[in-house]
Amino acid sequence: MPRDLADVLHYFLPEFDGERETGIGREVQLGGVEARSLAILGIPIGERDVVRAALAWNLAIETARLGAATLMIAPASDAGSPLWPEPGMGPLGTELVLCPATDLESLYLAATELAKSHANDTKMGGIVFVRIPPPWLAVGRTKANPIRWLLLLTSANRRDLHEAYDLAKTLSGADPAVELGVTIHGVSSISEARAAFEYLSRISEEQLGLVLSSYGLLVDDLDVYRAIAAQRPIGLAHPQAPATHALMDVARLLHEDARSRACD
Amino acid sequence: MTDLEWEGLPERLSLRRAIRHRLRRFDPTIRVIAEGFLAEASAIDLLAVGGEGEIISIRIGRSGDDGALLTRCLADLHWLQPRSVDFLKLAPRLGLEPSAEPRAMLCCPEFAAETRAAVETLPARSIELATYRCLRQQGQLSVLLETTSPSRPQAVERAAAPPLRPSDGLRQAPPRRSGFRTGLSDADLNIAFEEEKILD
Repeated sequence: MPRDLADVLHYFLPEFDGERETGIGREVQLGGVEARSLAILGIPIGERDVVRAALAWNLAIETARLGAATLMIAPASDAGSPLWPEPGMGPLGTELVLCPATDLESLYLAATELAKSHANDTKMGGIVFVRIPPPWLAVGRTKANPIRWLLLLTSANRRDLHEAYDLAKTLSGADPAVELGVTIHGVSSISEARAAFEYLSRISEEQLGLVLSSYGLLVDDLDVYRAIAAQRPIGLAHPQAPATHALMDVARLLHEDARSRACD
Repeated sequence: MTDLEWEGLPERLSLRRAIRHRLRRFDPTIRVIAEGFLAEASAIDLLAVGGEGEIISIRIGRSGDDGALLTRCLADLHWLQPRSVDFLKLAPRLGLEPSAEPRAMLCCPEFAAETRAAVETLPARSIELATYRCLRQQGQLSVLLETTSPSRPQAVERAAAPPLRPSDGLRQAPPRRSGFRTGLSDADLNIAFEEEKILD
């Protein structure tokens, strides 16, 4: 399903063939931008956090469905854990890679190598999703967090929102330039997710001067848990489920932003 | 911050990418939906959807481009208005609101006094001027984006809002412009539930 206006409008409107001079700068081809590196997105996921891991894996698959190159990288200590399916190529070309990283720097280096080696897999860009063990982000654990774009998955309940706030505080304290996005999961309505995001966004801005980016919501849906239990992609098992609609929407938001992050 | 240094103007594609990136902090409600989008006779650098579902033409220029780009922004507003409905049909999940007036944002390193004066005669927010400066941080190109429009509503709202503590409740937050993004509607979240109920 086309999700980006640029993906469909070239059927209806004239399209540039490469770059051309127009008198004011240059204009470039509509749609995809060839990148030298995929975007790297860190997602803090605990070692027993099966729900967040499943949501992250499904987001990677939905991002691949948009035509993007997607990979999931996690520390090799995850091998055999219930967090992930078997490493290797998965649905829609989404690849799970386990790397022998023992800290954030080595995890980032491995992610960077993947991001570069897969940069030209597709003209639609893509994302390397990185599972970060939360203890690796603790103050004093590393000199600086090299992963500049992170997604916090939080539920709408107050305790989880405050945990997300605390993590945001730690991350922005270590690196004021860090870019944090938030997806509210486990909600049953848009208004519930909106209220939760606005609360978290508000206190982060007021207390930390930190602007959070919203990456939509993921719904509390029985299909999610069925798919997690069966280790099957939600979007493929239940393509019309609300959970799938929500995953596609979050994937689209991530993909839109990833396209502006492709490294020079 | 010894690894931060000012940068000359990069090539156009990198500049556009850096500005697209920076827009998320500049205005979190803006979502870029297309690049190099052909309008009446020239390509809009970034086509975006604003927080109220309005379509936004974002033009990026270099020093001295502002006068010509202002003309193009005005032409974009004229060209985009009747097409919002078509865009909604083509991409219904982008959160477009066809009744919202299109607006434009013009990004240049600086603006001539005539350009600023011309924009002031237009309805508020129809064209926003933003200056940019490029810098390189840890090898990564970045831009500083600053609006020159004093009546930017978001800035006014933030300045007027009282501080809030983490211990404050959800309902105590005063109304403010939301940065929450989704292309979903309540119908997207209910269709399957309704189908299940029917099947049950």
